[in-house]
Amino acid sequence: MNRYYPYLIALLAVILSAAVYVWSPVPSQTGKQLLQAGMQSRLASRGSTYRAEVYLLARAIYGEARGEPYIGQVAVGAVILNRIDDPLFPKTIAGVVYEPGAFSAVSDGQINAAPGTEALRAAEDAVNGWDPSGGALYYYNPEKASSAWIWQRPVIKVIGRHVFTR
Amino acid sequence: MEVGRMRWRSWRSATIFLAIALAVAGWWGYSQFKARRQMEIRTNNQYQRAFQELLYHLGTAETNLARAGAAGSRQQLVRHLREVWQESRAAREELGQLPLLRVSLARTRTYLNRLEVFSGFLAGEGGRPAVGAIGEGDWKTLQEFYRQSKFINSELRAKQAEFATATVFSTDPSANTGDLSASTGRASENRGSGVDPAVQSLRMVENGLKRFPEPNIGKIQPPKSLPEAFRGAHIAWDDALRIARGFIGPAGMEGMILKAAGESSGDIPTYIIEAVPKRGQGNGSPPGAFLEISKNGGRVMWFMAQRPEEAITVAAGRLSLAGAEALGAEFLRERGYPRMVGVSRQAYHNRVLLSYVYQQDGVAVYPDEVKLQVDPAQKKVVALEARNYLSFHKPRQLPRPVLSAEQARRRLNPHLEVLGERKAVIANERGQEALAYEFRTRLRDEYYLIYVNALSGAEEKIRRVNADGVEVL
Repeated sequence: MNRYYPYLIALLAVILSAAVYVWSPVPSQTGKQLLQAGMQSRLASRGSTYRAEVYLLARAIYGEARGEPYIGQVAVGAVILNRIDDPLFPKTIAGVVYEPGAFSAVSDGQINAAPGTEALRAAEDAVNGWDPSGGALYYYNPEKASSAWIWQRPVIKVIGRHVFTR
Repeated sequence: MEVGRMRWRSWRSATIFLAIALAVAGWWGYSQFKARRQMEIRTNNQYQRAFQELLYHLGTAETNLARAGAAGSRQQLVRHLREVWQESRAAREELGQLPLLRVSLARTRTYLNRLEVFSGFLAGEGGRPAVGAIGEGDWKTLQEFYRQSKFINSELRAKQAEFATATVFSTDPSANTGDLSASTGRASENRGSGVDPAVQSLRMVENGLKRFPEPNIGKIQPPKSLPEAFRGAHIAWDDALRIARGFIGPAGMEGMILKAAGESSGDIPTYIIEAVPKRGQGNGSPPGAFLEISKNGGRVMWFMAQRPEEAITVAAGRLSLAGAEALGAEFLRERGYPRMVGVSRQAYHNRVLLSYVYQQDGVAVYPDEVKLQVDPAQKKVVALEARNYLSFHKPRQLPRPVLSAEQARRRLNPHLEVLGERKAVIANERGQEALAYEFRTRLRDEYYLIYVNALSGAEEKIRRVNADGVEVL
């Protein structure tokens, strides 16, 4: 029996590394289906005002703030929209969301997950003008934020686990 | 002897097997390394492209600023200003593609934004002086922009050779974090000379620009004054809770208690109040709500009921759009918004979104806008957004129209079928208001709202809308 151990260990190692390689996370396909479903329901309900940008905003909200209180999710969407109006940031939702290093959900790929209905609604509410962030341009989670820079920004308010700043 | 031989053989095969496994693992590791290297090169190439284009746009902006400054005719001036506008806009776009978020470039970005606003304004009709191509003050401002543009490009040109060689930006965005003054950042510790050459020279530009005066474009940007509604007396928490209770109303307050949820120190300081069910969330109790009340003036800025998780369905049948609009108008009347007229209505996500504007002497005042959301199943207003109304509403002295409606109508595109008309106050991007005739028109199966200035006859604005007044973007 003893003499098979080296084989077994080597085999296990190979299987394990293969498993890690094969089962490393891949972006889900459900996102696309939901986009189509969302689009159809909205096309039916209000003509052609649907914009892919709203869906992108919902994805950003989902990646950044799922599990937060609803108004906290709207607030994260509002921050992205506030940046568009600020001279220091790009002028489109995509430009702001994908600015390198701007959002951790973009950097680690979480933005590619399909957003839940809550995030979709939050994105719509933010686009329609609700801004629970109070005009904030940044937010951070005090438990996770590592950059000293972000701590120096003047705080506007706290919603859930996020601190919203100017 | 026999046992020893067998042991030796089994170890030999194990060694061969392990050697193969090692070779496979090695090959796998190397291919991973190669793939990673390839990704790095690709990312770097993208940064290179963005950065090189940034340099190009900044250079072209300078050239055209020079030409515009020398132009004697309006035609040449406008031509080059438009180029400046385009290039400054494009430069800003490229800045957004680079990992520079935490590199403080506020002065540089502000410069580009002001250049864009100023050149766009000057090239438009609003920037045309009574005589000549350009006013004396505007020419001086233009020269200041040119001087700073020349400085930016000379700084960037000094390092051009370095940009072309190695990595312009580290592919790790965190390497470029840290502020101008930060000498302890990871980036400066690990890289001898500091950070990447592009970041270095952009920082030099930023620091240098701070020595120049900010070009004066004051008259173009709207003054940032505090609106009337928020200049009122400072209120205390108790007052805010009382206002909130009145706003939600006795019916809405049933089974609910109000809770101080925090304060906000944004442009307009507010109290944040949460309405929570007495018996706690869930088990049949009504959902809670949030609202925010300004500390000065005690106005409800926005309100939003929490909603339970629900599927997206098309809200239909339970309450018509018109019914929802009437419900919302009644809600507004009860809360101190007496003369509001509905301008758009749309169903989405089990809600009806409604937009109302203030009506003065039959004129729709678009800047004074309030938005509501109605739940057609509960027949209840579940959200309000009044920031625009509170920010812009004031007593207005409306001018007498110079043009009659008939004269204004003749200025419309002849292909449009006019369905209706009314007077409206509209605002441009700079916050300047104008009295206009609003024509509801149709072109094939699409609707357009066209605004013709009632004083000058200029066509001010064109909006494509659907049959329910919702802007189609």
